Amino acid sequence: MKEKTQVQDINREFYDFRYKEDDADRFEAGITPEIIREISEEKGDPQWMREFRLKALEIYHRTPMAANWGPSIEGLDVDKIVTYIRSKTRMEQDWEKVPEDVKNTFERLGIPQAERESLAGVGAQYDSELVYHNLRQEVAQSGVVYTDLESAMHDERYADMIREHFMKLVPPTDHKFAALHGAVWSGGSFVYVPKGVKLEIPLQSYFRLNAKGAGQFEHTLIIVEEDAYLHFIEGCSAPKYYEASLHAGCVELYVGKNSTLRYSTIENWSKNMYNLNTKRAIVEEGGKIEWVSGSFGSHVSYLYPMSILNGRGARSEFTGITFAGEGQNLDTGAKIVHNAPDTSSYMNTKSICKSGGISTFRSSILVKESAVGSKSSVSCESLMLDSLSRSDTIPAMDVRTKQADIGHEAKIGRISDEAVFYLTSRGLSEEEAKALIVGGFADNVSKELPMEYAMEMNNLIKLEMMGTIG
Amino acid sequence: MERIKINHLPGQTWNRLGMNDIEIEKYSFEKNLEGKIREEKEELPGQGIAYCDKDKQGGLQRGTESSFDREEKSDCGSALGDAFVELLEETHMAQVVSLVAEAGEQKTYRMEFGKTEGAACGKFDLLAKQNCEMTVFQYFDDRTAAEQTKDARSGIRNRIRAEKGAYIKLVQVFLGGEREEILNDIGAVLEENAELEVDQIFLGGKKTVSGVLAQLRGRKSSFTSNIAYDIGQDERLDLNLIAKHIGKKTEAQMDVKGVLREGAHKLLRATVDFIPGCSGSVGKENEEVLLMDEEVVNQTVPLILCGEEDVEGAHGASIGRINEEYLFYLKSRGIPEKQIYEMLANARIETVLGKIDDGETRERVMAALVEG
Repeated sequence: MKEKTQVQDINREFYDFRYKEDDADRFEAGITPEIIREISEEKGDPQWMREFRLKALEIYHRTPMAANWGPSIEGLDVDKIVTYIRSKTRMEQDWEKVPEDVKNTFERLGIPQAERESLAGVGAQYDSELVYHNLRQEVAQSGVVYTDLESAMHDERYADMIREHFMKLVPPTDHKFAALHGAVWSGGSFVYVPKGVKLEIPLQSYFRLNAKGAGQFEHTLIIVEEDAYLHFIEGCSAPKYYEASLHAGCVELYVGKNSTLRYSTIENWSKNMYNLNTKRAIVEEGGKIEWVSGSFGSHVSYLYPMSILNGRGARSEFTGITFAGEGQNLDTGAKIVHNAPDTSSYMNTKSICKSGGISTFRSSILVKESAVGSKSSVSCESLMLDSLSRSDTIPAMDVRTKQADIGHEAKIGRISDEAVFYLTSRGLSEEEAKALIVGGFADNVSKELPMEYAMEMNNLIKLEMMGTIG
Repeated sequence: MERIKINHLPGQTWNRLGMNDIEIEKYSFEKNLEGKIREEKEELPGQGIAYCDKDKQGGLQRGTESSFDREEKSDCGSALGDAFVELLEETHMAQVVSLVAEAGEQKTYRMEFGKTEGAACGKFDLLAKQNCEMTVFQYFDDRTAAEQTKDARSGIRNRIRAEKGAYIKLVQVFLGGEREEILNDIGAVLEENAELEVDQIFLGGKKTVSGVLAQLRGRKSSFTSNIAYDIGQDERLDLNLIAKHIGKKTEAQMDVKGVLREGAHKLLRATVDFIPGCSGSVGKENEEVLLMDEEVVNQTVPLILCGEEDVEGAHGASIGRINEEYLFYLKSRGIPEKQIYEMLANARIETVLGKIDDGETRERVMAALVEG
């Protein structure tokens, strides 16, 4: 008889360090017009943004929570979430001027080192506000703008651009947490890549939520003009508390004609986090959006980056991996809308679950009447490491033109005993053999990342798998 | 009129996609579906399905109470859902036709249904006892129904039980007419080593909502579903196939092939559900759709729900045009493009006819295809 092994949970101490927070910096918990006005006041919002926030709040209150699909968010009481934490410091461009405890946090996460070694620019957000933002001089000289969204909104060179694009792709009416985001958003990045500029090395924003029982609502707005290229990386983490935390960020990406934007995410929120994030890109003629997504953290995740292929020949590629362990319910996937002729999309996802973790792959492919000659291919594979866990695949396709080619395949299974036997017969322990197989399973994602990040992801997988056979 | 939602997706998705269920009017069934039934080559007494009082002859039982209810075997479930079952139970004391194959027997029944005015329902209980074989053909032909059935509706429910080692094959052919709506529900329970094959052909039909739930409870029980459809002219087909793997080493294979023409709307929900404990099970689903015209809506949600580690689940779908190379090859042989598409459309029906492997069914379907 086959012997069952049980896979235990990861030791997250590496990410679980935290620093004392000053209660005076916290706004009151809950979501009221008074708190929204206070946030606007604190940030010196222009009038249109003040009105926008209050309108979004109205929408939030009247929008019901979808009750019939997705993981339960019963443990999240939004009225107890602190939506804004005042920064103790202003945003710095010199790392040495960042307050010591904040600096230590990012030092431990390796952010400054990554900046020195492989990035064109870095933004670091601590709770509600950016504390550091820097862009290499030569990159800035090429006309690339990389700053926090608030500064851009107050800069007359970009103010109109922000107003024209802010929450136009993800309107507050999209869903309840988009409305919440519209009301309380704070921090995040603004990136502008001018026509013809190809940025060969990536930009990165790192989001750290240190405060207990708080929410992070950063807004990332990226505009890539014609014939340009950008690779943007975001990373997220938080220490674990016993109270629920909320991340309801929003990412809006505008990809111009014949441009390419690669957006990579390694998400490793703590396991008390409700990650209800919304990401959306619109791609013009000949443009391409590439999503690379690794979801490892959070207690509950709802995450489905969406690509709207709006111009002839626009393309989307989504490569994702989700790893759900004990106490995690990660509902991830992607959405594609083919809205123009000759558009194409490719989705390749892997999910792994263990120790009672629940992983759900959810997707939708919509091929509209106008999308003649379009192609789409979806491939999703799931690996279950024990029978305590659960893995569901819920892909939807809606095709409305005969001149389209749509292919879909999904597979679910377990680590083959033969493969483990082969590797153990070559001297590996069972634990090492399984870690190697899982690493290989995730290979399609890690090879899409810059080497440093691929190594981080592989280390995360190793951490999840190590000391696990019992 | 009050409306109800039926044919639910077992794992729900975004509501805005409109794929989680289908909404219909809640109406009352006024009568039993009129039709004929015969055991192979022998007309059964009572001129077919007369729903006369309880008698028992040739394995056929009729009455308001089924042996399933008497013997507490009514947990066959429903793919269309509780709202449909309640509709059937509450609005009309529908009589049940029970077909029973005793242990070791081989039985074949044919049922045919045509004109029925108003809203009518048919309830059928199929019980295959240990190690027997039962084949049931059900033909629903509305093409001759003409004007009087314009607003007619049908509700059909098959409850199926296959005992240890039994084999049941249910063939349903729907030849569409002006009937407003057909609701077709199949719920089945399979015991150890039992097999169920459901073959369905849908040609036309203004609005057809159909579902199959197969509960694979017994070790090594298996479920096969072969479906072909060809719909057009603003017709709607809403399908819900659910294979629930409960016992160990169970198998399910669901194949759906179809053709959509001018204004047709099809939604396929196909679910392989691995319940914890069903180790060694294999569930597969596959779909091929040929879109013949613009202005069609083709929706598909193939689910794999998995609570067991030691299983194998797979789904594949291919939607859209004919492969360019095939097309080029056939055109180079002098066959016009329109004819190529029609050949390939017929080939989809032919594949399922091949699986059904029955002369009478082939004759009926081919005649309907020729009539267009």
